[in-house]
Amino acid sequence: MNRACSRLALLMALPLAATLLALGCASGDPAPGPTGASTGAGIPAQREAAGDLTEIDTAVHTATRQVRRISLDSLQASLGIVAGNDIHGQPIYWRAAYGVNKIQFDGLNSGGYSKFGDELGRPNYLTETEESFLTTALYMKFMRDLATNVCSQMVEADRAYGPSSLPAGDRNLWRFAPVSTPASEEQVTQNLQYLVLRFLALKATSDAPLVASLREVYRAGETSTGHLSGDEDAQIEGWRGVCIAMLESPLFHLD
Amino acid sequence: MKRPKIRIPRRRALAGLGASMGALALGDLVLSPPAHADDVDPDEQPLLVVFEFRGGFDTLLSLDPRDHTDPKFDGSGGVETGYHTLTNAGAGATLFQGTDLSQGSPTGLITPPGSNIDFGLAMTPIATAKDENGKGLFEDFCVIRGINMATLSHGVGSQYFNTGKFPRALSASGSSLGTWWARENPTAFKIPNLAIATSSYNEGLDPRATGLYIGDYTLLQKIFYPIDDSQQPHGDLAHALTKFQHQTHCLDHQFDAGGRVSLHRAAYDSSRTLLSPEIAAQFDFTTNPTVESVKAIYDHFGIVGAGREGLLKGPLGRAAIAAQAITQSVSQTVTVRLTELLDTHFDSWKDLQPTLQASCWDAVAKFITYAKSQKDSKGKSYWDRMTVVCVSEFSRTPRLNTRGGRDHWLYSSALVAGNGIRGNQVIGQSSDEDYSGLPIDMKTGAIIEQGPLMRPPDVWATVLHAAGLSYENVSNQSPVLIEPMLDS
Repeated sequence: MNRACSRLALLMALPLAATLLALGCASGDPAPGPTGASTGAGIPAQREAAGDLTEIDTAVHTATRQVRRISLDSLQASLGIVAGNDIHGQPIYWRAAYGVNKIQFDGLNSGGYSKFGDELGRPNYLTETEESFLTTALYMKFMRDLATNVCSQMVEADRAYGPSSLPAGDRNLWRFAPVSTPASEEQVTQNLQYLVLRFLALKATSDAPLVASLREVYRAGETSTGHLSGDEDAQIEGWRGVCIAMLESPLFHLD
Repeated sequence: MKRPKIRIPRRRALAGLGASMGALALGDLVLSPPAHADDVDPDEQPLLVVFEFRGGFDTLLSLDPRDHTDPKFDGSGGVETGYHTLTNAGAGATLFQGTDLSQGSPTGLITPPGSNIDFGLAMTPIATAKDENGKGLFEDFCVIRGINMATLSHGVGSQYFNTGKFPRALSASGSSLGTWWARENPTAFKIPNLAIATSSYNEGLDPRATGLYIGDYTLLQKIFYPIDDSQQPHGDLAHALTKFQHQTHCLDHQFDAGGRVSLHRAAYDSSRTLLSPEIAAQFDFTTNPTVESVKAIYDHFGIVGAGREGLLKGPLGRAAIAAQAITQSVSQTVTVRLTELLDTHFDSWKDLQPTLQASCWDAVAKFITYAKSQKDSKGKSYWDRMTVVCVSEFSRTPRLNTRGGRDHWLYSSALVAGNGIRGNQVIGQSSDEDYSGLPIDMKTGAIIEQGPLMRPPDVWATVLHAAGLSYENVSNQSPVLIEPMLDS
């Protein structure tokens, strides 16, 4: 009984705690703007003045389903949009090679060889009729494979445009920062903000903790090459690392 | 204009509570510190292996056979053994590894000396198998007959035995038995719960106990190695990516109301564990393995010769993977779907059912003999603390249909053996008249006029209890312990 009572108290406290945390995020990361994007259960799209806990903007608040992992079909459809086109001008997908001849398949398709849709839980309607929306160890293992492959393709596509050949707007990974010359802090920050918007559909301010975390990833990518910071290969690996981080992030996979 | 204060509508309140309940369901993970791997000795944990015969096995050929020389079972009544169909089918129908199974006994019943169990001809490989001490494997077997599956649907029956709970329409209810079994100490094993070619469910339990799915041996290399090593992040970047995963940002709190972010992070950490050279070496299940433990498994299971690739894909290969996972202390629970092809509605029944079942039972026999022969770090056999369960989603009709096959049947049988289970016995019975399950006294095992039929939750509750584990997971199914199963 005592355990049940303490759990009940916790049950009552959790929604309030979630609301408090949401409002505690007022500084730094802005909440998603009033664009109609779903914000999850009980999270207001707009906020009143900080400290006012009881008033919720009912005009934009809608009831939403519980947060869950993205479906494989949604993930597959998202990649070409988020990652853009490859070096051949075709939408990027997860290219998983099979066999000695390295035949490439879309790794998110089903049907064996290097198509892992079945293993990732896509129903085949023969023995499995529903998709599990749980994030499993196997799912995350393949997401690392997916992220490294997709991000490498983005690197290849952006490299193909050359340092000064085409307008920056045609680059998808380092659109606002050069790589052939050392990028300034402002350019790195601007590009990080752009990538957060592109991958996660979030408008982050320049001083947002998320941007700061991604800047660490970027710098680690640079140093992992053994080259000096500001070197072209170092900067490219930094952006590839940021891309991988976001494609593995829970904010990408949960909706 | 000042907006009015809101009264939260009941539906939204319940939705919020639902989200909170999700967090509470993961409360053991979210709120409690995880068990430290170093504190728990994997070689003191009870082990579980579940073998699934998918498609609906014909128990007249295996776990609940009848004497085919008895005129009662020639088809004039409610039960038809159909042996005349098998024996007239020409060469191959009952040929298994060079032996004609139908010649094993004049009645079609296989009863080894000292056995209290009659096995059907498809179980010849396991009924006659002995361990390294010459002891018949049947001495450990408890055969349960007359289980009421309450469904004729493959998916429903499979999920029912998978979780011990009747599904919600076509959706599984509850967690898989393997997940429940592994939830207490998921960090004690590298892959605590392995699901080979079968489904695994986790409803609110520690996410680290979620079953790792392996389709077949070809996937092993993809799981334990990066698909393209040249693209992997290295050094500082690899560390930074792990650090980034664990940094909590504003939206993480909001998204984690149902525990999904925590689950994502736990899955991420577990995925990094998979990429371990030690584990990868132990699962070097290629057509030409170089690792000694894998070679030993191949030898024991007979995965040799030119047909090795086919054997690896079938019941033997799947059981071999399970054997390696258990005896290398990589996994605590393994659920194996040995085959998907037992749904013999048509006259493929005569060609497929007996020999395919024999292949599966042969694989189970080899698994058990291997488990008995291998010693853990304490010098004890893995079998000493292992439970094996063999199930199917239902059995097949007692009479042949007009197409020469058998359809789905509500009652089924199961084989349970190992930790805390009393062996060399049969519990329960099906009717000789119409093969329906008969009610039993759950305390004595006696067949009674009126009373309950055994159900999957009763079997699971008893298996868990026998291993010293809680069966709270099936408590809402009102399980009753089948006391004669218990070795106490």
